[in-house]
Amino acid sequence: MLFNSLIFAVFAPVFFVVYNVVKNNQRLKWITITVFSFIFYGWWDWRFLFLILFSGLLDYISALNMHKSKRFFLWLSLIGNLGCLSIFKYSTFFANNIDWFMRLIGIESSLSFDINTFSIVLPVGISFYTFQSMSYTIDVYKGKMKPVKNIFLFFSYLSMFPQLVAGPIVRARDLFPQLLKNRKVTTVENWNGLKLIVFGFFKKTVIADNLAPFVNEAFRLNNEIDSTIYWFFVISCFAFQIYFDFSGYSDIARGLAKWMGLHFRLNFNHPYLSFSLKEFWQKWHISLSTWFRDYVYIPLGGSKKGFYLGLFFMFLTMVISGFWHGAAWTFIIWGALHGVFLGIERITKYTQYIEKYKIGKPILLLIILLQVWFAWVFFRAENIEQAFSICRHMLSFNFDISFINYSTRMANAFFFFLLGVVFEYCFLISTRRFLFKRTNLVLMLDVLTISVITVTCIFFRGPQSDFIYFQF
Amino acid sequence: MKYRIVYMLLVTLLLVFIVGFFRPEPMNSKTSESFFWNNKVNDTKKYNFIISGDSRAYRGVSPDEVETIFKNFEAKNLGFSSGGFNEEIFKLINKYLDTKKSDNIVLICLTPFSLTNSAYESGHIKSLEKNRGFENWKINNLTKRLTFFDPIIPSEIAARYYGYGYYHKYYENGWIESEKHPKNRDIAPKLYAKEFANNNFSEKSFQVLLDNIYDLTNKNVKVFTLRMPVYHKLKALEDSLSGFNEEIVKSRIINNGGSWLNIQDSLYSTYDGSHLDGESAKLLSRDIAKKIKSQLVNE
Repeated sequence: MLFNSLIFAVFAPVFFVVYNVVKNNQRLKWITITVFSFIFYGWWDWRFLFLILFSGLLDYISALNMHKSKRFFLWLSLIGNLGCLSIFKYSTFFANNIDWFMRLIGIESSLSFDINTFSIVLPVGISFYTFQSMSYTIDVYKGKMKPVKNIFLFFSYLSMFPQLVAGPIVRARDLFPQLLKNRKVTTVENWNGLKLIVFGFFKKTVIADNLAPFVNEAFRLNNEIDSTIYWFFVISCFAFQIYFDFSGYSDIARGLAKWMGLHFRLNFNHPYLSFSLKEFWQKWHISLSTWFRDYVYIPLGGSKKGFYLGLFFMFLTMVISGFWHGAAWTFIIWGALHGVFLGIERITKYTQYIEKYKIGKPILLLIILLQVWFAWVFFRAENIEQAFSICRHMLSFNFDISFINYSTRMANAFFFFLLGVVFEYCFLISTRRFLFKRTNLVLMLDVLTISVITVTCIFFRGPQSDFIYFQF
Repeated sequence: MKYRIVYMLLVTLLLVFIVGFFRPEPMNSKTSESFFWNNKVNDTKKYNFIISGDSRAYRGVSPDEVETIFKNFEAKNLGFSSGGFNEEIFKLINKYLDTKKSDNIVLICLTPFSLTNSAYESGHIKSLEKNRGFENWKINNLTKRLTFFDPIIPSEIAARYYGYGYYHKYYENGWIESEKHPKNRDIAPKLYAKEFANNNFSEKSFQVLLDNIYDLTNKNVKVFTLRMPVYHKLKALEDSLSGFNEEIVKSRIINNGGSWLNIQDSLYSTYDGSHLDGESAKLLSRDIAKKIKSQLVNE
């Protein structure tokens, strides 16, 4: 079920009515969350509910039995979860690469044709819930939290519908205490929840969905236009599309959680306004980057095992992060590029030097955006050849502008790209200049703003409907 | 401000009505489009004048205009995007034909592309037939009524101002009245030159068409065929590249029980070289109906 679907417009009110009736009874509350979350997920394909059940039960049982043999149950959980990911997300990738390698050494191989069609289908949100589930057993293993005994409490955490399919990845030790409490949702929290939901829909349906047709067309036509300006514009549009799409989803998830009396941490904090790549990663998909920091980078040794090993671990973590996003070499290169850029930043400390100059910050902003933009090419491209050919166009200094003709898609993309820039700029100035007192006039203005944005979502929605991160 | 959410809902409702009433009409209503296509395969009515073909057919022949000549007939346009003449389309034609009535007419609108392999494999009907159950109910009952909420496309506002635009008006009977400004009749020849480099006339597809014409005529259904009018440059290109031989096609259709309508291309105007604009489509529809009527009278 998609947040931006008619069926969700029916599902959500029904859920909140039932939830508010039962929320004072802990057990019923957890059962309600679990049942509705399963309906939410099963609406896409009920057969894959068994996968969440399997993954969840494995971790639930592993954590409960951790006191008997810590290492055995940790490995059982890791192998089970990563095994599911390997089968459903990576089997085609591995089979294709094994076939390629076998052919290279002269052996005929057709593994990719023998894969069961059911395992070729990528279950929506598998990467999110397996990571969420694994983090629970790892935390129990490390003694950071105790295992939960109530199975509905566990599944209400694991399958909670606002964040089930595209995050933010919520930590068990953050959410269990909240699920165990009975908090009254205040009027202000309800209002803030609504604001988050409306802003989330605006980002997704108005900006991201209106940029999508132009970006998709550009990547479909691939090499028909070779102007540097054109490709920079395409990649800028894609950068905005993915940012507004994903942060919009996170905002809606956070808003829904607020209505349930829960708090999900911020997942995107205006990452394109960063003055170092490190800062970018502290602001982009925060729940995932901190997950990788806590469960991959630090367990590998982090920066404690020396400067160069630290660099290597960081690079490795970024490559794994790329592979998490998608089973293709383009994603691995995307992660590796970020690893290299972060390494250069850490070795040279160039951001600190440039920052000292008067115009240092705008220059840094530009440098960071360029790095992120080039990496996005690999993230979006259909294959490596396409990615390299686009990079060549971007570096060819061909300033031909003959591509500017009257095309509806391009004109729309330009309009909504500017709207995205204005949206981010409004955030920038709102944090610096306007600190209103909460007078009635200001509150009315707030009401009017949310109404206008809601109407904008209704009448200026774009044609695309799926959230980009569903595929991960 | 305890009741902010209530105020917000009221203001939103008011703004929705204001914007909804004063908004510019969409050039291509997405909600109408969704209902239009779904209705082609999931309509429950019966018809006794069915028009079949590809995009030139669903843009070029208006059932309403046909009905002005054939007064007591119910006409439906069953043209599909890149539509060929495969078993699916004839299954659909047979589903819609009103077998209780004795005089049923099927009009086959031929284009060289519609007899190629690619058109034969066209998955447009299959993709629409997937809309079953809730999805079908949603499109037929909700989407149809949501034209008020059609998205506003900013570039369209600018395009209108500068005299550009691609306008579609969807009719429940399967016709799309289309206009494009500015007209450019050289668009289609370029596209079809590329298309016919790898995709040509398919004997298999043509044989399926002939078999079905034979079957339909055996069931006392009158089958009329014509080659849809296009820009003369495109016609010349199609004749030279597609492998479509009009004379052979015509004679084999007649041998299998069908009738052939001769159409004078120069009477009708296209906006892209391939598709007729709204007025020409109306004119062609009336001309076709008159020709069919006179043939039936002569019989």
